[in-house]
Amino acid sequence: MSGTNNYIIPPKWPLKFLRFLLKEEYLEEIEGDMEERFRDNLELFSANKARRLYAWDTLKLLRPTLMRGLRGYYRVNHTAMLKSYFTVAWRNLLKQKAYSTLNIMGLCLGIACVLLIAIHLNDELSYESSFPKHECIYRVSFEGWAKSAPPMAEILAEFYPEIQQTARFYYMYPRILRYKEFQSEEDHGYMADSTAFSVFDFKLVQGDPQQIFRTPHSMVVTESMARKYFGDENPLGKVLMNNSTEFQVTGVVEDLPSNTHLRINFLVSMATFYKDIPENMTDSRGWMATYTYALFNEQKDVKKARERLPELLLDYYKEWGTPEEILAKMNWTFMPLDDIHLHSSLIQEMGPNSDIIYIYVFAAIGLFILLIASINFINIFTTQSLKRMKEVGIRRAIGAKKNQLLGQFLGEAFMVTLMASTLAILLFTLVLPFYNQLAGKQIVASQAFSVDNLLIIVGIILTVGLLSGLYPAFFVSGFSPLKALAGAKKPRSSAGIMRKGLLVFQFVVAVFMVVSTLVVYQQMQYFHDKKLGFDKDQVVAVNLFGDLKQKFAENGAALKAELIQSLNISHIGTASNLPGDGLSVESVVPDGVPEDNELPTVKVLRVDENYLSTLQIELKEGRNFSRQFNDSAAFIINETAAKLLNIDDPVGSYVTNQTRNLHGPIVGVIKDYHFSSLHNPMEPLVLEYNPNWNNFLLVKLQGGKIPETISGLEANIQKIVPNYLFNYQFLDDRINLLYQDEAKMSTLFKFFALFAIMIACLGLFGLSAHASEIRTKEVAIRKAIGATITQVVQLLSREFIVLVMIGNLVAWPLAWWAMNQWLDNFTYHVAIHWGVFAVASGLSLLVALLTVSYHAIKTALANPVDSLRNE
Amino acid sequence: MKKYRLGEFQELVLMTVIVLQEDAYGVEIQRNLEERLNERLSVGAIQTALKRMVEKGFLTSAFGEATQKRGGKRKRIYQATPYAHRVLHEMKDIRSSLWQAMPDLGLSST
Repeated sequence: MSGTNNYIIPPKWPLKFLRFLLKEEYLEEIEGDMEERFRDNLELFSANKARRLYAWDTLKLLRPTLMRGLRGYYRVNHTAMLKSYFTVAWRNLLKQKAYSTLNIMGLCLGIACVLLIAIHLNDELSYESSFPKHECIYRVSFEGWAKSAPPMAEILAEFYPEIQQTARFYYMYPRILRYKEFQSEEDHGYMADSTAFSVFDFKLVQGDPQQIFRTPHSMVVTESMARKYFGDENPLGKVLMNNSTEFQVTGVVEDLPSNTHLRINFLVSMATFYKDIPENMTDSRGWMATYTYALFNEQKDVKKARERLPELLLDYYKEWGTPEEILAKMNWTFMPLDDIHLHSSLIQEMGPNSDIIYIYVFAAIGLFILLIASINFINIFTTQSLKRMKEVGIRRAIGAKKNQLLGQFLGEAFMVTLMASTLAILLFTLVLPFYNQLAGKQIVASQAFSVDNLLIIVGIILTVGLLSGLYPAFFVSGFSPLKALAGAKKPRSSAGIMRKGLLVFQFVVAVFMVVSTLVVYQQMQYFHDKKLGFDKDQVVAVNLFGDLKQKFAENGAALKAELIQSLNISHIGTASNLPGDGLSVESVVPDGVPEDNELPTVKVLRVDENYLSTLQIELKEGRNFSRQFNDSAAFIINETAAKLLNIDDPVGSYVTNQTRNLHGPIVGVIKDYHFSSLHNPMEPLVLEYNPNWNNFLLVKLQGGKIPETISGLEANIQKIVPNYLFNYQFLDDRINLLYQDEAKMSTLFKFFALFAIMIACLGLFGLSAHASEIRTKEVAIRKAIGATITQVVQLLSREFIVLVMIGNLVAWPLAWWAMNQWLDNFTYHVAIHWGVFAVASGLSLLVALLTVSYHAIKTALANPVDSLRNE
Repeated sequence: MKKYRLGEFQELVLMTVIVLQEDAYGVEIQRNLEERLNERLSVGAIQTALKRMVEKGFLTSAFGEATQKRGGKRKRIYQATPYAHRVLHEMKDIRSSLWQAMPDLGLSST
């Protein structure tokens, strides 16, 4: 052993740790061993490595044989002691009413928030789990489409022995149903295979499972729908009308749970599909019309099935090209049912799905709020326990072991946590309906307290109790008896490094959340205000179906003129789809392009001659459609399409829509307008002149008296077709729907950011109160000597303001990075403006200043005589 | 063998204690064993084994001298009890009888 190394000493903290945790009778020997070992290591390795090894070895000493138990060694009267703990804890809570309230409130808010988030996440993650066979159900999708061709189900079932059953759903349109005089719009109606009932285990409440789907036009409705149309009458055998088709109710199923992507109000037998739709469609391999689900025998079969897919594709698409081409183009996938809600956003999903990213974001927010709340607790608890040094000193002096003190303070922390949790659960129940509305959920309190969720709740309470109790308990029990007694009169400075650090951390989180909220909000505003290239304001879209659709197809011009004349309307156009709808994807090819030269597909929209003027879309070249020119097949394309099709002089040139077999001239080019959501880049669009394909009437109102105009519109339309169910939406509402995910997130963000700041400020309030309190005498003396109130307030708040500012500085780059990541989701997005940071820091400083100055001013205003006399 | 509850590692430590005689204290045992096993051990592993064997009556111990290298802490010297010696011998007998009973499969490494 060389003497040179003697000045190097092992790190201190592991030793403290050891002394605290190991049995006392073993300490001397083991400490000696550790020291000797350390010296040995110094000979072999660098000092740093030796220190690391020392620390590592210390951790490895934590074995039950060597550690002391948490119980003390002496048999004492435990009940009496416990009783004393409770009395002391309770008296202490009451003595410090303000702090106790702060502490309990902060924790209660935090726990309530986390409960909400936990229940929310639990609900999101539980999607589809209510179907018994959910793990073996897969959705077949095709090239980014949620739907697949009708014959696909049968082909799969034949090819794969592993597939037990397949089930298809075909969306029904139009959606108006009528029973006697009662009629209503019914979304979520599908034609379905009878196997759907066994694949998804829909619970049939009424009806014979063998008979329900025997014939075309049989219908099975959900219980709530049955109640809506038939009230207390027996639904079986009743007839519902859609348009001019009659459906006979043959069964009633239980309502589907809310946590599934399947939204079904009624199902109609698949035989209807084959009866009502032409054979060349139902047999088409290219018509992506049905949602196809396959039930595999076992989950592990799917892997094999995926491997054999190319085999099936090559056989199925034999005549479509070389094997390489087929495999490159024909991309079928089996998507697990359980993944659909969080991992799928294909074209034509059954409804809007959520995204896994939101799960992460929410989990992070929950964690942070929990941390902020716990930090508060730690800060307030430790500062308050400083006042109890005398108690600790006496307890130690008369023989309390560290463990007992640890137990006592941990117990107190748990007591407070438990009180806060009880309140939090109460608060949670109160807030739940409000939250459901914000988050678009349907969680009921009774469901929130299921066994699963109760476990989560207990877990959260335990975590918070431990998280927030451990440090203060160690802190307090670590007082040496002598110091504790001697120092009992004057606790030292209010904020140790630990407390300062924690405070800074809280504000980092709070500022981060404020910045994020502002950026999300700005992005939402951007969506709202972005020039879309057309005028969405004061445009009403009326659903056309049945007789009315027919009448507008036959005699549109006259009907439109009549409406414009009698009402406050400037334009009326018709269209097959609204902006934001998924458009038909078709192949449009200019004349003269060689056949093997493949052009990408374009989106096609069918409109009449008034579409452009109604939405005020700008023509760049050429002319609008017109009845005069007898445009039997004519096209207008957008700029992107012109570029894509690579036509030098588009107006006047001829194109063929190969998908629909239409040949006609391009009569005009329009400026690009955002016909789909701003998540996507601009796509090529072809407008086709077709007044018969009129699913929507677009009505441009002329400003003012909108309600009157709309009721006038309804009256007029019902004059044309009596009893017509007038169904309309505002175009801007429709467009806002595209961003409802973000809108929801924005609201929730606001909600939680508010909470975060509130909780952080509660902590600041507690700390500043304490800081002012212990400096009362100092302030009094300063005032007596002649300090002004302003000077005193400055003195007391400076420290906190600096900490909040540090929090800001740390939060900025973090928030900037995170929000840039988020904004990258959108093709069109705002740039992060420095003002956002200014607002966030201004806000946090202001709130912090207000919080702190309350105590500072109170202390500053106090009469120095009062505080000094108490000496 | 079960009644002795002497684990393999404990057995090694026990034998090292006997080998080291007056030098049998924590780190020295560890050094010796590390050399033989050619792997790093932790203080915790050795100490646990020692303490467990004291509890079971295989070892007794007494404080020895303190050295500067130990930061002035005393060593604790361990000594095997007669009971420990007996158990070790029994285990050796059981092992050797098993070795003899094993058929020669041509796998012996020597």
